Amino acid sequence: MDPAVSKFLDKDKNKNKKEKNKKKNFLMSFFNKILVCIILVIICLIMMKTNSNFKEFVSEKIFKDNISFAYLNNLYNKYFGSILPSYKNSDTEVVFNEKLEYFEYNKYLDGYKLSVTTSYLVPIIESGIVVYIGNIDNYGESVIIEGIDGVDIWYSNLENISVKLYDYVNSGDYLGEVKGEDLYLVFEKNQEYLKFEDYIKD
Amino acid sequence: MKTILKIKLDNSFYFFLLLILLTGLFKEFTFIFVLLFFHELGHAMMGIILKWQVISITFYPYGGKTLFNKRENSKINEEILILLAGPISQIITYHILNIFFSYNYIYSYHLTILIFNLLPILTLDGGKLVNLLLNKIFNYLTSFYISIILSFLTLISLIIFCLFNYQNLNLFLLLIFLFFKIIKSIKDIKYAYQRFLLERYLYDFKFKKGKITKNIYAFYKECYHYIDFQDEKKYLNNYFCQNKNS
Repeated sequence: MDPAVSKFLDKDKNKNKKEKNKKKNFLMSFFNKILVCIILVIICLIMMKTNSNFKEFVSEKIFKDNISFAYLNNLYNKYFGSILPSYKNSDTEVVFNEKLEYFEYNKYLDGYKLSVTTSYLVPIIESGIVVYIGNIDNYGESVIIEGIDGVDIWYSNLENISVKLYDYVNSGDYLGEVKGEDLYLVFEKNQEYLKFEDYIKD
Repeated sequence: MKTILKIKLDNSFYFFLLLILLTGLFKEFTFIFVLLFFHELGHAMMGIILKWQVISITFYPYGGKTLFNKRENSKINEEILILLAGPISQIITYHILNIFFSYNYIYSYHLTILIFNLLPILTLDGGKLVNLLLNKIFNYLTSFYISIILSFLTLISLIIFCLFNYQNLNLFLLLIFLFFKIIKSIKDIKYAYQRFLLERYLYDFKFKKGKITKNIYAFYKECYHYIDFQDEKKYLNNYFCQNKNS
């Protein structure tokens, strides 16, 4: 046989070996990654046992706080511009721009009870992302909107809700109708309830 | 013919997914991905209909790439059909999505992707379309250089626009990425041209038109040539054998 041809055939044999090695390498790297994860978790557990400050830090930052989507998105938009390709057409948007109007407010459970006119059209107070729609005990049908300042606002006792889950909404947009004459509002930040006077100043 | 379709995600796509996860733009991103997916699938389906071999589809954050095992001497009209199939299938999927969902932003994302894709920049669909249309008038290399100049002009004007009027990091990174892609295509053009000639030497293509040329670097696509009172095939035979000896 021609030496050049035999050399070529040898190369071809090596190729098959390489492919087998690739599969082995993939498995090895996969197991290595799992092992590294286990080591990191064990190191964290040991640190938590020995250091009480670290334990507090973990329980507060990882188990209690939640990621504020709207806050991060607002931050990114401020410094780097919008993430997704955006092209705004303002002609087709619904025009509804109002401020919250009410007669009086009283404390109710964790939040506040606002007395308003029957079937009042609720505007959104702070722009953000809708993170929950559904029934909450003692509040009725409610919507939770995570604001760009990191504060969750619960709008409760609603009807005919116009937003959907994970929609980005703007302040002043139409949210829904009030069922009856009471609107319940709760202001929450990292599982602490804020005061109504602090949040709305007017 | 057996066609195995590999669908890959580029590494930058994973970073983008992390960004989407942190900012909670799940809904918007799913619509964009569906539009992009059907755009690329349109290219691939048209390729399969015309019996081209599809190798893989790769997805980037704002677009995709369908890789064909193609010949440089493939028919211009077939390539144009494959290029146009992507935007057309995207438009069809947009109208189907519009029936089920009533969001304003789907329209805006659809329009921006479509317009950006049809810009005359060589790595995008629009630039390739311009290059193919120029191939019908000019020879292979001239049309390539004209489309390169056109794509550089549009790219630089876009970068200037991005710097002064519309500051956006992601758009800027995308434009830089396209810039390097164009530079790579300029580096690769000599190999592509050698491949163009070698295919003509190895396979029998049947072209209707014939032309008399003096230079080997002035070959036209879909055209048969005569150089120095010689047949194209004989001349290419000499050309490749001389290179082998030297």
